[in-house]
Amino acid sequence: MEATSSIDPELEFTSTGVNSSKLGMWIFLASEVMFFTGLIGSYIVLRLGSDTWPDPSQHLATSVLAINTFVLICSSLSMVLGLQAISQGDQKKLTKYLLITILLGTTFLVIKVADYVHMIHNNFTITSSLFGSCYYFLTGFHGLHVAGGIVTLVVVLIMAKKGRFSKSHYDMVECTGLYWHFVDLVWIILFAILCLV
Amino acid sequence: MSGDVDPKPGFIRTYVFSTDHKMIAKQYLFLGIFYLLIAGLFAVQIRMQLAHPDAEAPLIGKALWPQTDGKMPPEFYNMLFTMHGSLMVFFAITPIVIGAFGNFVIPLQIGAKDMAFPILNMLSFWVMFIGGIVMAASFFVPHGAATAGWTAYASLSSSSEVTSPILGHGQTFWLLGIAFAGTSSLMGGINYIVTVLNFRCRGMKLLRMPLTTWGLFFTAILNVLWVPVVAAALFMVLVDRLFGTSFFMAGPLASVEGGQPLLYQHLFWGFGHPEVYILILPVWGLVGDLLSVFSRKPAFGYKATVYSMATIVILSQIVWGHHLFTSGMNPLLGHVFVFLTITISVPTSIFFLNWLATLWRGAIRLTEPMLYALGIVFVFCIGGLTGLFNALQALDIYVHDTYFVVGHFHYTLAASVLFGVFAGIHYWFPKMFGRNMNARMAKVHFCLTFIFLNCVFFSMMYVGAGGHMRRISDPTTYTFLKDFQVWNRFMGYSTLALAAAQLLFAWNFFHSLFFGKKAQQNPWQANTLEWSAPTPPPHGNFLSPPKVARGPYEFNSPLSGDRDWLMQDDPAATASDS
Amino acid sequence: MSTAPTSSSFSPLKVFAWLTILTVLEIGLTYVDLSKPTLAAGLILSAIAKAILVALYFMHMKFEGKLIWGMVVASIFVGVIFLVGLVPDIVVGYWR
Repeated sequence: MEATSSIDPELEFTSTGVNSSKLGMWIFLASEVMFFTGLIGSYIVLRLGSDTWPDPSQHLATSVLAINTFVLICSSLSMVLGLQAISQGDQKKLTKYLLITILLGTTFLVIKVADYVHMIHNNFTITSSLFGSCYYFLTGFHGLHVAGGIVTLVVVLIMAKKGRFSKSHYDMVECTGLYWHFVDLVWIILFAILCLV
Repeated sequence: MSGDVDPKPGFIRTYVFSTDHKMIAKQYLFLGIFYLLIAGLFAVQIRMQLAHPDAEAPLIGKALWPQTDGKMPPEFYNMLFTMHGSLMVFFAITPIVIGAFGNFVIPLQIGAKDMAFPILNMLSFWVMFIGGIVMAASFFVPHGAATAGWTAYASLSSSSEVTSPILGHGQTFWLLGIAFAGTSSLMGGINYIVTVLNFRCRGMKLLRMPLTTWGLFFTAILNVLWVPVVAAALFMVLVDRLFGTSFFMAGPLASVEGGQPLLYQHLFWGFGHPEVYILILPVWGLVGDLLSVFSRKPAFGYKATVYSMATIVILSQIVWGHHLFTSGMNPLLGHVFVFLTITISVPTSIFFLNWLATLWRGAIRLTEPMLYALGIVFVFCIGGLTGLFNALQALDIYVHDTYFVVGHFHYTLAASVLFGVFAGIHYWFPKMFGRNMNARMAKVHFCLTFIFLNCVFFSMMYVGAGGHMRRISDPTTYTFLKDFQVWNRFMGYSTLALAAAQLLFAWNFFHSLFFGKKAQQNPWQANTLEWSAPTPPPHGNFLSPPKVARGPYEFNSPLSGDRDWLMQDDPAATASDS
Repeated sequence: MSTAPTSSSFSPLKVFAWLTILTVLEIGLTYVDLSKPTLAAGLILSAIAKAILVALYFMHMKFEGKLIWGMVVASIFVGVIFLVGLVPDIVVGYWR
């Protein structure tokens, strides 16, 4: 009980030498890999088992989705730049890049929703066909992940504004970044196998 | 993180929203015992219905169904067995074995102050708590609780609520409840893995960890990998129900062409088979610990046990297909799954042999945790051997969906894990609550439970081999099952006796909680680190950070002087590295 | 124990440029008159290449140790095995 002082050498000690938050985030990402294996695997099986699969370009506005892909890749870039900034101790730059990342993520979601509305208007809904079901289900879950990422990024931004991160202490920026890139990575795969093939 | 210890937290921070792993363990324990009671009562009700299908349901019949003279309608029977299975697996066994034991034991056994992420730990309990409420609430929605079995096979579970409102919302509540439980398991799993990997005290190498911690660690790995897969499947069922899609529907039921009912079974059992090992692995580890401590001998083949458990973790993820032999699955794929499933018996046999070899020529102390551990060895042997029958495609086609399978998985899951629960509670009770349980009462409880449990589950396998189907509310409607009615009555009364025997445990547990004799620091004279912490351990666990010098099972070591045990962190003797 | 600032030892803009080029390439592929399997193979390869770029550089896997590689490789391996188990049953079921 007496060991409550803030500088405790035992605290710094981890058995593997890897930072615990980062390790936890990677384990979470491993489980996310399995979650999307379940979703994408179901999609692959449903698709290969179906005799009547439409050409995606019949229903989807490929150019809009391509722009959205670009938006998300840009957001990943700004996230990386933000992390590089704080690893050199530049808090101002970090705040700037976090803000850009949030804006780009929000843009992605806005375009996504507008696209949904447009398609539903054109009578392509979640119950129109198996393709429709898969499309809305998979992109919907990806959208939820993006939304969750934005909320986390806002929290990180507020913390950054308060000057909670420094050159030697930026675990949370790093972990949020890992998650954000993973969401980007999932979209890259979804875009190719769901929207283009 | 784990060092931010507030020395004097208030009442709410101590007992409700506590971040102390020991308090969270206790919360999990009480939650689990509560649902164990509920789901156990469901089991009694199920067996009484099968014993006397024409009579009124005891206690609840008259009140609930006056129009049929208290006779239970088949739909309610479906709800009973569905909720019995679901609550037992997700809200009784999981919270006790993984939630309570995992939380309590892991940091203590590896010499950590707390879990890696204490707040995440607290959240995981409360998410589980909400899930439990959602599950319980499902009984009170129109048309009652889920009726599709704990496996919730599509299309039973996935028919759209939109197009057929008669289905009610029970299944939707079930899906949400399981989603909460899964989220909780995932949070716990991440926490356990990071804690075991990163928060071991100095000297605690991976291969110096006690087997219980190994079991819980492997469990956490399986949880993290496979809970998301079932989550994906359950969300698809949810969308099928709420938005009218047809991922898992085919034929006239489907609103959209091309759905695959079989896909659900693959996704579910992809998780479902690892889930079996998720529940049993901590118990295996616990048995390894207990047999060693109470035989006063090092665990035989400690490394072989760890490696065979690791092999089982790997193999368990690629055998899910043996649940699908009769589903219309590709028979060629079936052969692959037969081969892989039979392969699991190799590592299983290895650590089973290690258990027996640990006992061989040991100075056996028949304490109450040891009795339960020996009980596990016995019932798991039966459960494992009957598993071989189910694993073979040709035999499984005959016994599939009969009480033989029910008996088999009740031996492995219900009997083994239940004994694991009792063994763990009796073993760690002194450390957890600082008081001792009554030993004589526990031994009587063990004997009664052991007898009646075998009466129930062995009879199940007997009638199952005779072709008695599972999930039917009235066996007397089938002529060929009429002769089994005497067995159904026998099982009914045995279940009553089994339930009555649990009153002993309940009395012992709650009485000892307040009036038990004060416990010593190391009542079982074990070596592992939890016994070198004060009883009960304070916030932060150890008075000074422990330093581990040796493996967990150094009994009768020449270094230990006149005692026959040698604590892992005992500085007196110099380290003899293994 | 903070990790060394390895993140600056690569150029994010270069990775970004590659990601953009591959995306444009993917869109371009859909306009070329290819058979469906060829198109699928091309797109999947390109997507995997992009995913690897993101994982290696943006997610710093290139600079991580064995532990994190082990976790990622294990989960992907398990996932792929699971997919392999799903496909024969449903896609080429013997009733089809």
